[in-house]
Amino acid sequence: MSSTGKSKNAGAAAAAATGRFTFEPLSTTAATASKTGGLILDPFTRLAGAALLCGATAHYLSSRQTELASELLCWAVLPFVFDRANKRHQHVGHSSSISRQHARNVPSLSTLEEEGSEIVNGNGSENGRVRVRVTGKGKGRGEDAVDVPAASLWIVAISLAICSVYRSERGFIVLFVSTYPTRHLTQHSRRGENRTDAGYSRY
Amino acid sequence: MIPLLLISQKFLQPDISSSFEIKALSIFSRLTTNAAGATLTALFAVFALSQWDPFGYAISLAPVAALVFIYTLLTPQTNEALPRWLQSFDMQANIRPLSIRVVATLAFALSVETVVFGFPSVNVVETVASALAKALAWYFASQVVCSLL
Repeated sequence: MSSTGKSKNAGAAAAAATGRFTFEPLSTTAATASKTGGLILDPFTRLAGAALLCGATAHYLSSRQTELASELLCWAVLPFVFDRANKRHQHVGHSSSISRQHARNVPSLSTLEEEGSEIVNGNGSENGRVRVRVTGKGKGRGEDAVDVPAASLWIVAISLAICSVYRSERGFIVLFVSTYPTRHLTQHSRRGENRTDAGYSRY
Repeated sequence: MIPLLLISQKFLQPDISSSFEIKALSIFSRLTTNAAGATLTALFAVFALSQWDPFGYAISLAPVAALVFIYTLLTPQTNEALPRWLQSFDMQANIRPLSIRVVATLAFALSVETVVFGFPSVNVVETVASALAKALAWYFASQVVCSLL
Protein backbone atom coordinates (compact mmCIF):
# COMPACT_ATOMS: atom_id res chain seq x y z
CA MET A 1 0.00 0.00 0.00
CA SER A 2 2.70 2.36 0.99
CA SER A 3 4.68 1.57 -2.13
CA THR A 4 1.56 2.15 -4.18
CA GLY A 5 0.99 5.44 -2.41
CA LYS A 6 4.57 6.41 -2.96
CA SER A 7 4.33 5.51 -6.59
CA LYS A 8 1.15 7.55 -6.88
CA ASN A 9 2.82 10.50 -5.23
CA ALA A 10 5.84 10.05 -7.41
CA GLY A 11 3.61 9.86 -10.44
CA ALA A 12 1.76 12.97 -9.38
CA ALA A 13 5.02 14.75 -8.78
CA ALA A 14 6.31 13.63 -12.14
CA ALA A 15 3.05 14.66 -13.72
CA ALA A 16 3.27 18.01 -12.01
CA ALA A 17 6.84 18.36 -13.13
CA THR A 18 6.07 17.50 -16.72
CA GLY A 19 2.84 19.43 -16.72
CA ARG A 20 0.75 16.49 -17.81
CA PHE A 21 -2.61 15.50 -16.40
CA THR A 22 -2.78 18.56 -14.20
CA PHE A 23 -5.44 21.21 -14.20
CA GLU A 24 -3.94 24.65 -14.41
CA PRO A 25 -5.84 27.82 -13.61
CA LEU A 26 -7.00 29.75 -16.64
CA SER A 27 -4.61 32.61 -16.03
CA THR A 28 -1.64 30.26 -16.02
CA THR A 29 -2.87 28.57 -19.16
CA ALA A 30 -3.42 31.90 -20.82
CA ALA A 31 0.02 33.11 -19.81
CA THR A 32 1.57 29.92 -21.16
CA ALA A 33 -0.44 30.22 -24.32
CA SER A 34 0.61 33.80 -24.76
CA LYS A 35 4.23 32.78 -24.42
CA THR A 36 3.95 29.84 -26.76
CA GLY A 37 1.61 31.48 -29.21
CA GLY A 38 -1.15 29.05 -28.32
CA LEU A 39 -4.77 29.10 -29.25
CA ILE A 40 -6.12 31.15 -26.38
CA LEU A 41 -4.28 34.38 -27.07
CA ASP A 42 -3.68 33.91 -30.75
CA PRO A 43 -3.28 37.45 -32.11
CA PHE A 44 -5.61 36.97 -35.07
CA THR A 45 -8.34 35.51 -32.93
CA ARG A 46 -7.84 38.19 -30.32
CA LEU A 47 -8.11 41.01 -32.85
CA ALA A 48 -11.06 39.43 -34.63
CA GLY A 49 -12.78 38.86 -31.31
CA ALA A 50 -12.20 42.45 -30.31
CA ALA A 51 -13.62 43.62 -33.62
CA LEU A 52 -16.67 41.39 -33.21
CA LEU A 53 -17.21 42.59 -29.66
CA CYS A 54 -16.93 46.25 -30.61
CA GLY A 55 -19.17 45.73 -33.62
CA ALA A 56 -21.80 44.02 -31.50
CA THR A 57 -21.57 46.80 -28.91
CA ALA A 58 -21.96 49.43 -31.61
CA HIS A 59 -24.95 47.61 -33.01
CA TYR A 60 -26.49 47.37 -29.55
CA LEU A 61 -25.92 51.05 -28.79
CA SER A 62 -26.91 52.53 -32.13
CA SER A 63 -30.42 53.29 -33.17
CA ARG A 64 -31.93 54.47 -36.41
CA GLN A 65 -32.11 58.07 -35.18
CA THR A 66 -28.45 58.23 -34.23
CA GLU A 67 -27.06 56.09 -37.03
CA LEU A 68 -25.84 58.84 -39.36
CA ALA A 69 -24.49 61.04 -36.58
CA SER A 70 -22.65 58.18 -34.90
CA GLU A 71 -21.19 57.01 -38.21
CA LEU A 72 -20.01 60.54 -38.98
CA LEU A 73 -18.47 60.88 -35.52
CA CYS A 74 -16.89 57.44 -35.87
CA TRP A 75 -15.05 58.37 -39.07
CA ALA A 76 -14.07 61.74 -37.63
CA VAL A 77 -12.51 60.01 -34.61
CA LEU A 78 -10.96 57.08 -36.48
CA PRO A 79 -7.71 58.82 -37.61
CA PHE A 80 -7.03 59.84 -34.03
CA VAL A 81 -7.65 56.27 -32.86
CA PHE A 82 -5.08 55.01 -35.36
CA ASP A 83 -2.60 57.72 -34.40
CA ARG A 84 -3.08 57.09 -30.71
CA ALA A 85 -2.66 53.34 -31.10
CA ASN A 86 0.46 53.74 -33.22
CA LYS A 87 2.02 56.18 -30.77
CA ARG A 88 1.30 53.81 -27.93
CA HIS A 89 2.87 50.93 -29.83
CA GLN A 90 5.95 52.99 -30.56
CA HIS A 91 6.18 54.15 -26.95
CA VAL A 92 5.70 50.77 -25.36
CA GLY A 93 7.80 49.00 -27.95
CA HIS A 94 5.16 46.58 -29.04
CA SER A 95 5.50 45.17 -32.49
CA SER A 96 2.83 46.71 -34.59
CA SER A 97 1.29 44.90 -37.45
CA ILE A 98 3.53 46.65 -39.91
CA SER A 99 6.69 45.75 -38.03
CA ARG A 100 5.51 42.14 -37.60
CA GLN A 101 4.86 42.02 -41.27
CA HIS A 102 8.27 43.46 -41.97
CA ALA A 103 9.91 41.01 -39.60
CA ARG A 104 8.31 38.14 -41.44
CA ASN A 105 9.68 39.53 -44.71
CA VAL A 106 6.34 39.20 -46.36
CA PRO A 107 5.92 41.65 -49.21
CA SER A 108 2.73 43.54 -48.62
CA LEU A 109 0.18 45.10 -50.86
CA SER A 110 0.42 48.13 -48.64
CA THR A 111 3.84 49.09 -49.83
CA LEU A 112 5.63 50.69 -46.95
CA GLU A 113 7.88 53.64 -47.38
CA GLU A 114 9.31 56.06 -44.89
CA GLU A 115 9.41 59.58 -46.25
CA GLY A 116 11.30 58.74 -49.38
CA SER A 117 13.75 56.37 -47.72
CA GLU A 118 13.78 52.64 -48.27
CA ILE A 119 14.40 49.99 -45.70
CA VAL A 120 16.74 47.44 -47.17
CA ASN A 121 15.91 43.89 -46.26
CA GLY A 122 18.11 41.00 -47.15
CA ASN A 123 15.65 38.29 -48.04
CA GLY A 124 12.43 40.14 -48.55
CA SER A 125 10.80 40.96 -51.80
CA GLU A 126 12.35 41.65 -55.16
CA ASN A 127 15.94 42.92 -55.21
CA GLY A 128 16.12 42.31 -51.50
CA ARG A 129 14.18 45.45 -50.73
CA VAL A 130 10.96 46.13 -48.95
CA ARG A 131 9.72 49.61 -49.50
CA VAL A 132 8.20 50.86 -46.29
CA ARG A 133 5.76 53.71 -46.13
CA VAL A 134 5.30 54.40 -42.46
CA THR A 135 2.64 56.94 -41.82
CA GLY A 136 2.03 58.58 -38.51
CA LYS A 137 4.99 60.86 -38.18
CA GLY A 138 6.13 63.81 -40.15
CA LYS A 139 3.32 64.87 -42.41
CA GLY A 140 0.75 62.71 -40.73
CA ARG A 141 -0.88 59.48 -41.67
CA GLY A 142 -2.15 59.07 -45.11
CA GLU A 143 -0.86 62.26 -46.65
CA ASP A 144 1.87 60.40 -48.48
CA ALA A 145 -0.52 57.82 -49.87
CA VAL A 146 -0.55 59.52 -53.23
CA ASP A 147 -0.57 56.32 -55.24
CA VAL A 148 -4.08 55.40 -54.20
CA PRO A 149 -6.54 56.71 -56.76
CA ALA A 150 -9.03 59.17 -55.42
CA ALA A 151 -11.77 57.24 -57.19
CA SER A 152 -11.17 54.24 -54.94
CA LEU A 153 -11.40 56.38 -51.83
CA TRP A 154 -14.56 58.07 -53.07
CA ILE A 155 -16.13 54.72 -53.94
CA VAL A 156 -15.52 53.41 -50.44
CA ALA A 157 -16.76 56.66 -48.90
CA ILE A 158 -19.95 56.72 -50.95
CA SER A 159 -20.53 53.02 -50.34
CA LEU A 160 -20.19 53.51 -46.61
CA ALA A 161 -22.59 56.43 -46.77
CA ILE A 162 -25.10 54.34 -48.75
CA CYS A 163 -24.92 51.56 -46.16
CA SER A 164 -25.30 54.03 -43.32
CA VAL A 165 -28.27 55.79 -44.93
CA TYR A 166 -29.93 52.47 -45.68
CA ARG A 167 -29.34 51.29 -42.15
CA SER A 168 -30.79 54.50 -40.73
CA GLU A 169 -33.87 54.17 -42.95
CA ARG A 170 -34.48 50.43 -42.81
CA GLY A 171 -32.27 49.25 -39.97
CA PHE A 172 -31.29 46.05 -41.72
CA ILE A 173 -27.55 45.70 -42.15
CA VAL A 174 -26.18 44.00 -39.08
CA LEU A 175 -22.54 43.78 -38.06
CA PHE A 176 -21.12 44.14 -41.52
CA VAL A 177 -17.91 45.58 -40.10
CA SER A 178 -17.48 42.54 -37.94
CA THR A 179 -17.86 40.10 -40.79
CA TYR A 180 -14.83 41.74 -42.36
CA PRO A 181 -12.19 40.27 -39.99
CA THR A 182 -14.06 37.00 -39.82
CA ARG A 183 -13.81 36.63 -43.56
CA HIS A 184 -10.11 37.39 -43.38
CA LEU A 185 -9.66 34.80 -40.69
CA THR A 186 -11.22 32.29 -43.05
CA GLN A 187 -8.80 33.32 -45.75
CA HIS A 188 -5.97 33.05 -43.26
CA SER A 189 -6.92 29.48 -42.46
CA ARG A 190 -7.11 28.72 -46.16
CA ARG A 191 -3.63 30.15 -46.66
CA GLY A 192 -2.42 28.02 -43.76
CA GLU A 193 -3.89 24.95 -45.42
CA ASN A 194 -2.25 25.84 -48.69
CA ARG A 195 1.10 26.40 -47.04
CA THR A 196 0.82 23.13 -45.14
CA ASP A 197 0.00 21.35 -48.37
CA ALA A 198 3.00 22.94 -49.99
CA GLY A 199 5.25 21.25 -47.49
CA TYR A 200 5.83 23.79 -44.76
CA SER A 201 3.88 25.42 -42.04
CA ARG A 202 3.96 28.81 -40.40
CA TYR A 203 4.05 27.24 -36.96
CA MET B 1 -23.61 38.83 -50.46
CA ILE B 2 -22.01 35.40 -50.28
CA PRO B 3 -22.11 34.56 -54.01
CA LEU B 4 -20.99 38.06 -54.91
CA LEU B 5 -18.08 37.83 -52.52
CA LEU B 6 -17.18 34.39 -53.83
CA ILE B 7 -17.21 35.63 -57.42
CA SER B 8 -15.16 38.68 -56.53
CA GLN B 9 -12.70 36.54 -54.61
CA LYS B 10 -12.39 34.22 -57.58
CA PHE B 11 -11.17 37.12 -59.67
CA LEU B 12 -9.25 39.00 -57.00
CA GLN B 13 -7.51 36.08 -55.33
CA PRO B 14 -7.50 33.24 -57.84
CA ASP B 15 -4.78 31.24 -56.06
CA ILE B 16 -6.69 30.92 -52.80
CA SER B 17 -10.16 30.34 -54.19
CA SER B 18 -9.11 27.70 -56.74
CA SER B 19 -7.25 25.59 -54.21
CA PHE B 20 -10.14 25.81 -51.80
CA GLU B 21 -12.78 24.84 -54.34
CA ILE B 22 -10.96 21.66 -55.20
CA LYS B 23 -11.15 20.50 -51.60
CA ALA B 24 -14.86 21.21 -51.33
CA LEU B 25 -16.18 17.83 -52.31
CA SER B 26 -19.42 17.38 -50.42
CA ILE B 27 -22.63 18.85 -51.75
CA PHE B 28 -23.17 20.96 -48.66
CA SER B 29 -19.70 22.44 -48.98
CA ARG B 30 -20.40 23.32 -52.59
CA LEU B 31 -23.55 25.15 -51.54
CA THR B 32 -21.41 27.62 -49.62
CA THR B 33 -18.02 27.62 -51.33
CA ASN B 34 -19.01 27.27 -54.98
CA ALA B 35 -20.35 30.42 -56.66
CA ALA B 36 -23.19 28.61 -58.41
CA GLY B 37 -24.25 26.72 -55.30
CA ALA B 38 -24.06 29.84 -53.17
CA THR B 39 -26.16 31.71 -55.74
CA LEU B 40 -28.85 29.04 -55.57
CA THR B 41 -28.80 29.11 -51.78
CA ALA B 42 -28.92 32.91 -51.72
CA LEU B 43 -31.81 33.05 -54.21
CA PHE B 44 -33.80 30.58 -52.13
CA ALA B 45 -33.06 32.55 -48.96
CA VAL B 46 -34.01 35.86 -50.58
CA PHE B 47 -37.30 34.49 -51.93
CA ALA B 48 -38.15 32.83 -48.64
CA LEU B 49 -37.25 35.78 -46.43
CA SER B 50 -39.07 38.26 -48.66
CA GLN B 51 -42.23 36.12 -48.51
CA TRP B 52 -41.87 35.29 -52.23
CA ASP B 53 -42.01 38.95 -53.19
CA PRO B 54 -38.37 39.88 -53.85
CA PHE B 55 -39.19 42.99 -55.88
CA GLY B 56 -40.36 44.71 -52.72
CA TYR B 57 -36.81 44.48 -51.49
CA ALA B 58 -35.17 45.52 -54.76
CA ILE B 59 -33.78 48.65 -53.12
CA SER B 60 -31.64 46.38 -50.98
CA LEU B 61 -29.46 45.86 -54.04
CA ALA B 62 -27.93 49.29 -53.41
CA PRO B 63 -26.37 48.48 -50.02
CA VAL B 64 -25.41 45.01 -51.27
CA ALA B 65 -23.48 46.55 -54.17
CA ALA B 66 -21.98 49.08 -51.77
CA LEU B 67 -20.82 46.31 -49.44
CA VAL B 68 -19.26 44.41 -52.33
CA PHE B 69 -17.29 47.53 -53.29
CA ILE B 70 -16.20 48.03 -49.68
CA TYR B 71 -15.07 44.44 -49.24
CA THR B 72 -13.38 44.43 -52.63
CA LEU B 73 -11.42 47.63 -52.11
CA LEU B 74 -10.41 46.90 -48.52
CA THR B 75 -9.49 43.25 -49.06
CA PRO B 76 -5.91 42.43 -50.07
CA GLN B 77 -5.78 41.23 -53.65
CA THR B 78 -3.35 39.13 -55.59
CA ASN B 79 -4.69 39.81 -59.06
CA GLU B 80 -2.81 42.78 -60.48
CA ALA B 81 -4.54 42.73 -63.86
CA LEU B 82 -7.48 44.68 -62.50
CA PRO B 83 -8.12 48.33 -63.28
CA ARG B 84 -6.28 50.73 -61.02
CA TRP B 85 -9.37 52.08 -59.31
CA LEU B 86 -10.54 48.56 -58.44
CA GLN B 87 -7.32 47.52 -56.75
CA SER B 88 -7.36 47.38 -52.99
CA PHE B 89 -5.60 49.86 -50.76
CA ASP B 90 -4.35 49.81 -47.21
CA MET B 91 -6.98 51.36 -45.01
CA GLN B 92 -4.53 52.01 -42.21
CA ALA B 93 -2.13 53.94 -44.42
CA ASN B 94 -4.89 55.95 -46.08
CA ILE B 95 -7.12 56.55 -43.11
CA ARG B 96 -6.92 60.34 -43.23
CA PRO B 97 -8.01 60.93 -46.85
CA LEU B 98 -10.57 58.16 -46.52
CA SER B 99 -12.04 59.57 -43.33
CA ILE B 100 -12.21 63.06 -44.81
CA ARG B 101 -14.22 61.76 -47.76
CA VAL B 102 -16.48 59.62 -45.60
CA VAL B 103 -17.17 62.50 -43.22
CA ALA B 104 -17.92 64.84 -46.14
CA THR B 105 -20.30 62.31 -47.72
CA LEU B 106 -22.05 61.57 -44.44
CA ALA B 107 -22.32 65.28 -43.63
CA PHE B 108 -24.00 65.80 -47.00
CA ALA B 109 -26.41 62.92 -46.32
CA LEU B 110 -27.13 64.19 -42.83
CA SER B 111 -27.78 67.71 -44.07
CA VAL B 112 -30.15 66.43 -46.76
CA GLU B 113 -31.99 64.35 -44.19
CA THR B 114 -32.20 67.36 -41.87
CA VAL B 115 -33.59 69.57 -44.64
CA VAL B 116 -36.16 66.99 -45.70
CA PHE B 117 -37.25 65.48 -42.39
CA GLY B 118 -36.10 68.03 -39.86
CA PHE B 119 -33.40 67.75 -37.25
CA PRO B 120 -33.41 64.26 -35.70
CA SER B 121 -33.60 63.84 -31.96
CA VAL B 122 -30.12 62.70 -31.03
CA ASN B 123 -29.10 61.23 -27.71
CA VAL B 124 -25.58 62.54 -27.25
CA VAL B 125 -24.30 59.81 -24.92
CA GLU B 126 -25.69 57.06 -27.09
CA THR B 127 -24.25 58.63 -30.22
CA VAL B 128 -20.78 59.10 -28.77
CA ALA B 129 -20.66 55.60 -27.28
CA SER B 130 -21.84 54.04 -30.53
CA ALA B 131 -19.32 56.07 -32.52
CA LEU B 132 -16.45 54.99 -30.29
CA ALA B 133 -17.50 51.36 -30.51
CA LYS B 134 -17.69 51.60 -34.29
CA ALA B 135 -14.29 53.28 -34.48
CA LEU B 136 -12.74 50.55 -32.35
CA ALA B 137 -14.43 47.89 -34.49
CA TRP B 138 -12.94 49.41 -37.65
CA TYR B 139 -9.55 49.72 -35.97
CA PHE B 140 -9.45 46.09 -34.87
CA ALA B 141 -10.76 44.95 -38.25
CA SER B 142 -7.99 46.81 -40.03
CA GLN B 143 -5.47 45.32 -37.61
CA VAL B 144 -6.70 41.85 -38.49
CA VAL B 145 -6.21 42.56 -42.16
CA CYS B 146 -2.72 44.02 -41.58
CA SER B 147 -1.76 41.06 -39.41
CA LEU B 148 -2.79 38.57 -42.03
CA LEU B 149 -0.81 40.14 -44.84
